[in-house]
Amino acid sequence: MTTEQQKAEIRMSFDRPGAEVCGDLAAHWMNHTDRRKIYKGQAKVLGLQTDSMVRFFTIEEVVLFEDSYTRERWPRSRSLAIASLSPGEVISFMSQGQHVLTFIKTQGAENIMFSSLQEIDRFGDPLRGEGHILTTSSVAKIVGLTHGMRGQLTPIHFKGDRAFLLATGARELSNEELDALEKELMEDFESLRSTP
Amino acid sequence: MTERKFGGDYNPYEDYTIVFTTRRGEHYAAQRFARLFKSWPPEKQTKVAYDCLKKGFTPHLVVNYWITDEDSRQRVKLWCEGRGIKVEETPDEETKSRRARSVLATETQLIDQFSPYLSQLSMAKLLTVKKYRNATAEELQLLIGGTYRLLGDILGPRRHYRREAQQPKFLPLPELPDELFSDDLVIQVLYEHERSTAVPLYNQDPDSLFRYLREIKQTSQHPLKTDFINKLIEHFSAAENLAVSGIKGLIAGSQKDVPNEDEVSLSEFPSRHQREYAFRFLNKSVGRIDLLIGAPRTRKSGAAVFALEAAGAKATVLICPSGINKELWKREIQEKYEEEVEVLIVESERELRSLAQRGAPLRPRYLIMGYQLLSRLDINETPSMFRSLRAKLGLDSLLADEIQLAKEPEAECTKQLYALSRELPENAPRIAMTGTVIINSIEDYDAPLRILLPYRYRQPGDFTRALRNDPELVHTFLVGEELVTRWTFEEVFGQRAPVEYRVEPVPFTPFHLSVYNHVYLDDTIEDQSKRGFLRQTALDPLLIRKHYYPNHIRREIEKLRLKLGERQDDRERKITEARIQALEERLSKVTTLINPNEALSQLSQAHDQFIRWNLEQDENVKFDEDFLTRLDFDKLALWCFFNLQGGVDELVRLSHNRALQKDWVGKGGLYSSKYIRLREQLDEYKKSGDVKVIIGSGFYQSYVSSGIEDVLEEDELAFLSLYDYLRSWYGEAAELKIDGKVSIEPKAGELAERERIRRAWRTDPKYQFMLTTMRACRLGIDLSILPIRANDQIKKVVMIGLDDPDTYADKEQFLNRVEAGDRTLPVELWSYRTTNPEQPRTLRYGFIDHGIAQALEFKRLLSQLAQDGIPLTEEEETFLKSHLSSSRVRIELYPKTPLTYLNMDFFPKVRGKGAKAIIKLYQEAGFEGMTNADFFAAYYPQIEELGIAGQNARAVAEVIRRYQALTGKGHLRIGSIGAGSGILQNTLGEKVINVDLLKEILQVAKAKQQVDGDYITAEAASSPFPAGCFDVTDFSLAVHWTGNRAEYSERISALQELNRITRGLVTITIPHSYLTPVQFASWRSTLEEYFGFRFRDDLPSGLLRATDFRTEPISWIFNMEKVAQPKEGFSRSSLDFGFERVFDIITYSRENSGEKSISIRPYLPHKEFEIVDPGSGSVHKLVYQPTDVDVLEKALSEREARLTSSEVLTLSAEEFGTFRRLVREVRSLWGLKNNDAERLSLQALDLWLKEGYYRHDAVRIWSELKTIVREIHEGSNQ
Repeated sequence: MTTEQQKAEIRMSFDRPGAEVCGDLAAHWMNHTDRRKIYKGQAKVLGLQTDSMVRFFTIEEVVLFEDSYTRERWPRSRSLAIASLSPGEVISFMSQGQHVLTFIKTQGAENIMFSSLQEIDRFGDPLRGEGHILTTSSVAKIVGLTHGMRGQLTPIHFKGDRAFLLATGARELSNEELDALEKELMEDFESLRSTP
Repeated sequence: MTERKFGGDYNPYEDYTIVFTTRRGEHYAAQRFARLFKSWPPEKQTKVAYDCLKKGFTPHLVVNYWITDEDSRQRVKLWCEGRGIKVEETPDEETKSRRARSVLATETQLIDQFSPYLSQLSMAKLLTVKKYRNATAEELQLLIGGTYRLLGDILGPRRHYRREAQQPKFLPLPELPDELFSDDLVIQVLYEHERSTAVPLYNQDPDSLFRYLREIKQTSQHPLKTDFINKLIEHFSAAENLAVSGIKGLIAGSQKDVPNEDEVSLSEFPSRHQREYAFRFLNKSVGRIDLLIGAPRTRKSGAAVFALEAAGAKATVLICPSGINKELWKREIQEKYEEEVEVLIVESERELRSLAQRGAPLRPRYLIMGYQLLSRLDINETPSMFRSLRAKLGLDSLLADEIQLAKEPEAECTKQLYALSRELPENAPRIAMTGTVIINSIEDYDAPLRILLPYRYRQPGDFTRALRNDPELVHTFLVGEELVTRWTFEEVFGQRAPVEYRVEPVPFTPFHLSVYNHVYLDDTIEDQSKRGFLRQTALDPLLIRKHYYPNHIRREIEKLRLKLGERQDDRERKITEARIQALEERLSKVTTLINPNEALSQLSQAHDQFIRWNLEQDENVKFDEDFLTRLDFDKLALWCFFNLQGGVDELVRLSHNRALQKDWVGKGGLYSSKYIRLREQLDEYKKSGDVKVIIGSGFYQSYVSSGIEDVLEEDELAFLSLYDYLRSWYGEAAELKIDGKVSIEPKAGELAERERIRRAWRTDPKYQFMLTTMRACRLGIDLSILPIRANDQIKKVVMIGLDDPDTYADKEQFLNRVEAGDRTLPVELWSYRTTNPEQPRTLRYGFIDHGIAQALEFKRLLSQLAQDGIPLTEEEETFLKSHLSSSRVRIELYPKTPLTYLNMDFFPKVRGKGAKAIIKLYQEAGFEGMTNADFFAAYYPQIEELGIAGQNARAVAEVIRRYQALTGKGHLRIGSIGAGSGILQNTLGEKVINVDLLKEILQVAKAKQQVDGDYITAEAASSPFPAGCFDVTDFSLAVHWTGNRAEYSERISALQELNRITRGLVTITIPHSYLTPVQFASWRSTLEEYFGFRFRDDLPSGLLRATDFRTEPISWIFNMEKVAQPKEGFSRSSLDFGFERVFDIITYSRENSGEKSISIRPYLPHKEFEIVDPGSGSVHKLVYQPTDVDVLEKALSEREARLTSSEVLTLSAEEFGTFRRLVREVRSLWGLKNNDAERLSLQALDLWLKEGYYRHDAVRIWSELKTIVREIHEGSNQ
């Protein structure tokens, strides 16, 4: 899978109305304006790239912030920053001067906040019972996102199922991808040489 | 520790320890003491400040207010930083950096100049020795640590930390300021840096090193600089010229195995890095000792032999792994000497004894022993035996190979090796070597360093204690003292033929994946086995089949039932019962995967689908287990695999359906996806014929009960191992195998089997494939391909790891087996990882192979971080705390606090151990080198009053008052057994006879007494009092310290003794978590029936709980009257505690304490209590009436009077963190001054503590606190 293909996949997954995305992303989701109404969805696995390892969580709960609400509530700050991202990009904002919350952009200024994640795996060994719950502000903390910082999602496979890996900085490439990239570059190089 | 004096002509101002030890007069004494302190000259201030800080004075007070001299203050601050003592509130990142900059302000230029060249550590050393050159060696270590952390605050250690080792660079010597070179200590740091940077270059190209040095010498004008460079040139020239007579100049080295002598290309001995090593070894400041940590195959043994010879050793005792290694060492040694030297191998204890008694006819140059032999000796006899061995053979030096085998302090071989080293003279040369980084934790250094420096570190843990348990100092210490030499392969040999690392994703076949998922989801596997099960399943499903085979499970259950019949204690019984239950569950799951009666019909349905599929979709499709799994007959395939001996094949045989039998292909036992992939790869190599392949795996032969010859004869579940497959695929002659079954013992006149195979592999191109276990293929085995004519056709060496081992060291060892200094063949390293057959070229996670790879990387990183002194991130700490269950890791990675030491080391060691063991423990060194007695006496009283002991004492005091009222007696003679710091006496406000085991704590009790009491040191089980001398005897929170062993029950004696010395009331209390209600009932009936006590209805017994603020369980209380003499005839176990249960609770709460909740210690001044009788459920209220001189009241009022941040330090960490945050919040909200903000926050926190819940959601706590603060603020404004 090339970088372009990955980008396309991320776009395909997130360039959709937020309600749809939420349903495909988390076990439960709600709209920020009405938090009492909880919808059910299909939970995906999210890998978080920390300083020293990747930890895996199922997305238990997300909160949807609709485009209109975001623009009305944060007209000059958050909404502008989110609108300037491409779908599937992740950004963190500090809320009330304490918690750094993490959002995925979908369309326009619409965005989804990670609200609750549950750890499922410890070095390939399944975690029994309750597991480790991550609250909304811990996501940014363990990935290393600070206010206004962006993160990248990479499509990965977790036990063969589609999942996403959230990391700051550059997107991670697999060995095969690196090989392919090198091959592509070499081909480009060869074609350059052969053209007079 | 000096003995403390109380009373008499004692002047407290002479001895500042009194300020700490007497709590009652603390505030007063501190003020007076501070005045005295300030009058001293700066040097004395600094020295006393260190002492005060060691004794636990409030650092903020000492550093900021007492020390008058600014320089001294900075120095003490830095010292505190090095010890991890927080001087002020924890600064946030920005202030930290600002502070660091201001402290290091004068050095910023130097930092900028050096940071591209020096590692953070060297830089810290440089700055420290430059600034604090008068400090003692011990202080200097701590100061370096402090500077290191400060530098980290500026540079950001984690941001600049690369996962690879920092590559040192030569300093730009000509550009450095000249004045630097006028300081000896600075020169020493710079010199050590330049020397270690120069070693690789010297080894590979000495001419260019000398050229470089001469060039910079010319450009450096300053004479001091020139001297510095001259010294470097001299070092390497002298190393170059180091010669030792009797040593051969040319040796075969790794080419010893070459059969034809003409083909051996000799290599120089000693090579340059060996020579430099020996030269440095001879000139070390710490003495002639070294811990050589070099990558495998970096010619460590030659270096050690040469260094010892250069040091003038005449007879060396060499300890190495047993078996083949001893012979290899003999060969190694003998080839290095011009004339034949005597090398004696000791195989048995008998031989060793006879050597010690009679000596040897020829004095050996080397005496070789294995670790195994050492382990078998008796430690009581060995010191004298080693002594006479030394005298008889003239042993004068020690060489220990693979020292990581002696890193467990409790292991017999470690003790023996230490004893052996201790028998050698103090200045004898000693070298310990290891091929892998031995550090999984800091304590792993302890034993090796003690063996090297036996006169300096005498007891286990001495070295670790010398490091003050602070991981960030380890590296400083080791490198600073030149204790360790490190070599990487690249440093020694430079660039080699390429090594290619490849991760090979191996897609699971559908059936293999289905078995894996079954095991993954299986809840009946014990936690600790799960990982092993998954790893074996990922390699070959057949490896775990045994655990699911019904007959086998039934046999296991029977065995366990038999075990239940034997005598077992409760805990073992519970475990066995749980295992039986799990196995029964597994059995029922496995047998009912499908209805067995429908198996045949399902199979024929599948066959129908196969026929259709074959016609319509794909004519090449195979009718096998994978096909069944793909078409949703996975349960059928699994059922057959687990329940039938022959798997689906057997069901096919039973079906009598000819067409089906004809179509069925089956997998024929080859279920492993990895083996299938391996065969594809090997086929290619077989065809080309120019590649040698080593296949390594940890598990390939587990549970294979028989080989290919007698398959299916001995064991109904026997199956083919990978070796069997290799032989059936490529013929008997092409493969070799090294594993645990291949003998390492040489037979008469012949080589050992393993050695024969090893040589055949190196020299004979016919053997193309070799199968090894990771375990057998470690430690010292040379499998590199020899550059001889016969091997000319070999173009490449491939190593295939079928699964990753548990530790990074093992992996590295395996990978380095084919390395050699003269290797010319390229190497490919393949790691197989089973994964899903999804789209290729994506990142894959989630299967056990990925997990193990991640875990290895994580472990490697943590160990490297610990060694390099890089602090862990908060997330890593949390992860470590919650996910690595071993408390060892936690303790080693984090500096101990008095509280963690008390809870995690001290209490577990005294609980249920009995007086003798406790007295012994008191005398041992514990926290920070203090004896446990001093530690306990100094620390425990601090936490006692507001802790469980204080709560308990208030309740007991009220019980005693009630008893007084009930009986109408005027004055009671009260005895408190296990009185501690006299808490009952102070709470009750009456004279008590305080009895305790520990003299020191009674001294503390006397010092803080509110009313005059008596103090007697005695054991509970044998007190010096006449019979019936007490009206009331209190035995509070002490009975759980007594031992209850079969041969002698101290607990029973103590309880009988209580009966003897009392004529009225006996009160016993036990911490609430140590008894279950059922155990309480058992205790109660035993005490009533056999110990002559009667339970009083008007003074109830049961669970004592505090009820004001919030309900908190405190203890189990027994209030009894003596009515008769004790009797015999009860069971000792009826007086047991549920300690195991305590550990369960701790583990449980640890497992579940995620980031959502915080726990707060019950530091509340409870006064209202109730006693709940678990039998009847009746509740009795108790309200404590404070005395005139109540300690608690006083402490609380003092606390309210002095609301400073230093006081808040007595809060728990979580509270403190919340407090700081609240202060910041309050300051920013209303712009208050710091003092006012602190006062307000503390009020809010106190209020919340009183009204809050025991456990709470972290987010809610914060919002609640903010509301409370707001309310108080608004209230005060109105």
